[in-house]
Amino acid sequence: MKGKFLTITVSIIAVIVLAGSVRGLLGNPTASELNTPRWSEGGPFELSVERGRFSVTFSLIEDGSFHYSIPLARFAVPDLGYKDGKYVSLFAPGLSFLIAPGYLLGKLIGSGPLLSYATVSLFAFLNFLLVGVISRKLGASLFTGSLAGLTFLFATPAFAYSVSLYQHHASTLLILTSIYLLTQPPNFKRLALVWFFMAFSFTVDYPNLVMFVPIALFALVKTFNVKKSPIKLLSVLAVVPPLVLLGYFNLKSYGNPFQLAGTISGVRAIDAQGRPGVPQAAQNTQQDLERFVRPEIQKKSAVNFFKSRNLLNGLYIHFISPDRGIIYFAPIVILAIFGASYLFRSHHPLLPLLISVLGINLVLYSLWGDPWGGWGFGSRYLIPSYALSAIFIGVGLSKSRPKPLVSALFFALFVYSVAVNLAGALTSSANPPQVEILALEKISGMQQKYTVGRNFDHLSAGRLKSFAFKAFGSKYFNSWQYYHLILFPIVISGLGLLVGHTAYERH
Amino acid sequence: MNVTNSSRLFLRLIFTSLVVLSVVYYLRFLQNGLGLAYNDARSHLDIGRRVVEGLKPGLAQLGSVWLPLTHALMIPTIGNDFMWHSGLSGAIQSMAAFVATGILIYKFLERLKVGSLGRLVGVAVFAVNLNVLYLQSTAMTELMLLATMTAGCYKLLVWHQTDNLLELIQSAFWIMLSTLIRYDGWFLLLFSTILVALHTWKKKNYSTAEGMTIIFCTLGGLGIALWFLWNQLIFKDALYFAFGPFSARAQQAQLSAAGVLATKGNLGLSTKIYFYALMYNSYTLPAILGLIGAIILLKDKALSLSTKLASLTLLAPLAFNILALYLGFSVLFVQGLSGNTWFNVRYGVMLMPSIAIFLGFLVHKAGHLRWTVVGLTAFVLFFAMANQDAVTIDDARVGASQKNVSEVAGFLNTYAKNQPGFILISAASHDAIIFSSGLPMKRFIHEGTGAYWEAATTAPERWARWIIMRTYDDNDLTWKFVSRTQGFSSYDLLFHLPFADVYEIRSDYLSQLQYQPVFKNQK
Repeated sequence: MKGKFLTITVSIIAVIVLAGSVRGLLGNPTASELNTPRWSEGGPFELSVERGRFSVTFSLIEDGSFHYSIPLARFAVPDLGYKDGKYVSLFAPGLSFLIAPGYLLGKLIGSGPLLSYATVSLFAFLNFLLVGVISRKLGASLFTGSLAGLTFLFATPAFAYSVSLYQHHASTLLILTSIYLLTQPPNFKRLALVWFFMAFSFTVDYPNLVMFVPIALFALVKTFNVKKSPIKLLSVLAVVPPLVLLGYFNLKSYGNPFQLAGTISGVRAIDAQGRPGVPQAAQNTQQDLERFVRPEIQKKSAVNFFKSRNLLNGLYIHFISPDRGIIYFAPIVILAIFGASYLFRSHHPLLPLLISVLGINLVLYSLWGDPWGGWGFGSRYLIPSYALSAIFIGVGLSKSRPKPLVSALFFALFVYSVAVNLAGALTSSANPPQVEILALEKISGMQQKYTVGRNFDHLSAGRLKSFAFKAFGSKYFNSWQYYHLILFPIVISGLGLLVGHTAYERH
Repeated sequence: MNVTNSSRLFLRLIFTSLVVLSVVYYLRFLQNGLGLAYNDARSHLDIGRRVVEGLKPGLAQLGSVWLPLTHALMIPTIGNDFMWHSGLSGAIQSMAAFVATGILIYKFLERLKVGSLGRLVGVAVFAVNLNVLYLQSTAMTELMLLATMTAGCYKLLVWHQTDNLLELIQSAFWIMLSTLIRYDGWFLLLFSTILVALHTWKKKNYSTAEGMTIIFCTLGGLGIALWFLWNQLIFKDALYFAFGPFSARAQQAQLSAAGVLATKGNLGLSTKIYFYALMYNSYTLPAILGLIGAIILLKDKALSLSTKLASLTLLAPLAFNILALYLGFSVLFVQGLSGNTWFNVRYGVMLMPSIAIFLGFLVHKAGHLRWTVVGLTAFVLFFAMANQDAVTIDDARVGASQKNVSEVAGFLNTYAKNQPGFILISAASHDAIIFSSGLPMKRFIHEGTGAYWEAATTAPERWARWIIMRTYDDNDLTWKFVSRTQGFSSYDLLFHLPFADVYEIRSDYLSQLQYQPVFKNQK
């Protein structure tokens, strides 16, 4: 009873923290207003990935069009596509569809973009719950299951992307929900949902299809293992609706239902006449400028984004680089090895599925030509892996004896990881990769940071993007006070769950 | 069908698959010309050819510095022009070695009691590697070395498990062959000798250990002893291969003087450079999984200490290559780390059989995670093949291991082919031109032609209709000697081309040229 009370309290705290951190501004901007610094680089839409995905939602709802108006195209640059003389999206549309209800609801109360962002926070909260539930399915206690969810949501870069407009929490939600469904006895409905989520995940982000392969294989094995009812095999047909939706979007946007967004020609800048132009950085260089003003001559291939030669550098970037490495941004994730090791020794049947998804996530995005994820905070592509790692952490904490050393180590790493990721969530995700620093310093004429130190500098300068801080909090607190106001509940929640687990174990 | 028969059938299937793969890729690289892209490959073929055809044919043409076995094995076939110019005379050994290594990986894993899936994965990790497939299609020496080293390690493992002296002798034999292919084999011999001594001492006593070590060393070291003897007889200096003007030491000294041998004396950098070469050649994930497999093997309580120690021989190439870089005996460039080019990055392929074996072992021990390991490995290999990722090919195409000598060679093939007269050229500097010209070896006067070389570098105007050399470069022996002769003034510079210049004797002097080989039966 006390345990349930504690975990419900922690869940409420999580919601409050997310609400206190989500980025946004009051208002329903027009396409032209979106291009102002208040909304773009100085506001919630600081990076083009967010602008690109929001542009689809905005264009469909406000303009009723799959093609962008000129102001909206300027807003989406440099992640802007160009097809048959029209400006189009360069992203898979799934997230844009998912935030549409939030945008519509928000519009009613004068905060369309804000509730679009809050939709992603909702997904993040659901992921927090799912991590806890799955962790308990694998042997974690009520307390360590919640700790697992808390770890995922606040002690990894998942935090920074729970308050901004990226696809990662939507992708993770689909993956975790599918995994959860596969822990249940298989029936037609559950299997159909898994296939549906797999196909829908493809509309959210194309590489999700690869990450779903282990889930699909696991589902197939479960389907064939089920006695009687060959009708369960028909559950595979659930892939059709999302694919039809995607095909329809592609047809309307690109004129071809089978054209993937990543293969569309890109536009990096728009000139004063609204035509594709040469970006400032490319001017006065030796580059072939023709491809900027005539994007249709660009040649792109989906497979060439992933190269085995990138793997070594990719692993370095994800694990130990100072600008994205897990060792700096979420060292707590390393404790997952204890839980995974326990599950291996106990031959848990779900372990191969979890390790496969984690492995595919890690390898796929190490093969990727841009493991940094552009300008970003931490290794955002590994958010699904953080969720799975957190599940293992929950199990590991439960199955290790509650020695003071284990708990102390976990808590120390938890506090550090939360402190780092909270800085990212409250301030900005626009940290440049280390490889771009020299060029950036040349342009700016000053030293540029590429580690989490950049976020703490924002914090010291009062540059927070949290809606709650900007709308209300700044009247009562300075940025550091606000930071601690958010930090303490998270840390206390973690401590409470840890103490609760220790007491529970004793009894 | 009982277990033994099904196992034999499985092995036959693997053998057939390896043969098919080998032939398909040889033909592919023959067709696109990459099979002869390595400068060294052309040199190896020329060395073999010079034994059977030229102005002074004979076994002495096997030369020094490069160990002789692979060249000697070319002798039966390289007299045929197609076998020479297609590279097949050298490639056929590499292809056979590729198949043999694949089978040895299978047998090694069988000895470690690894199941069928683990053995198959082990073979596949080795065979489905474009760097391995490329090198096995060329006249390079790496695959022969891998085969003999793996055979030696395998037999050593069997001896450790059975104490059968015959296995030890066979191990010594294969390692002896490896010592006649590349100097990596010498290190393996040392490493293996230590293991033999330790194993016997532990199991029996000191005197038995002494005896066993002597038996092993005598056969295993026979190749090395013969090599010293060869150098003494032919070059009058037993250490000519190590300290002579064409030795690796001399080459590395030049590089060091130019400031590009950064790995010498720097253990950290040597380890880093070789690590990158290893990762690029193996596609990273197999190497990481192989490392995990190696750790699990060493900690596996089900395996005897003897088996574990014997398996350590698989790590000998790692130690050798890092040591060689550190001591300055070897040079390796990784693009982006040591400048903007590749050189000798193929050395990273030396651990491929080891990685394959350790990864196969990991699959065996992974329990219900084995399909995860297999799936992730297959995932990476898929992209490697889809991207056509091969650093060895990059080195051959654009790295420092290639020489595009098509212009000079093309000139010789066009003008010199149907005109009488010798071509004076340094084989040490321009073997690639000799090969690519398509002309028979007997058209060339080079360092190995004895009296012809001495005569032509003293009075070139009597012997050489054309001279191919790098002007003003004393490292090119032809320039070094000819430029100081009076007769050099009889030549006009025809072309200044990449890698070499072409000189032709003026027409007034054609009548005094020697057109026929006159120094018969040189010793």
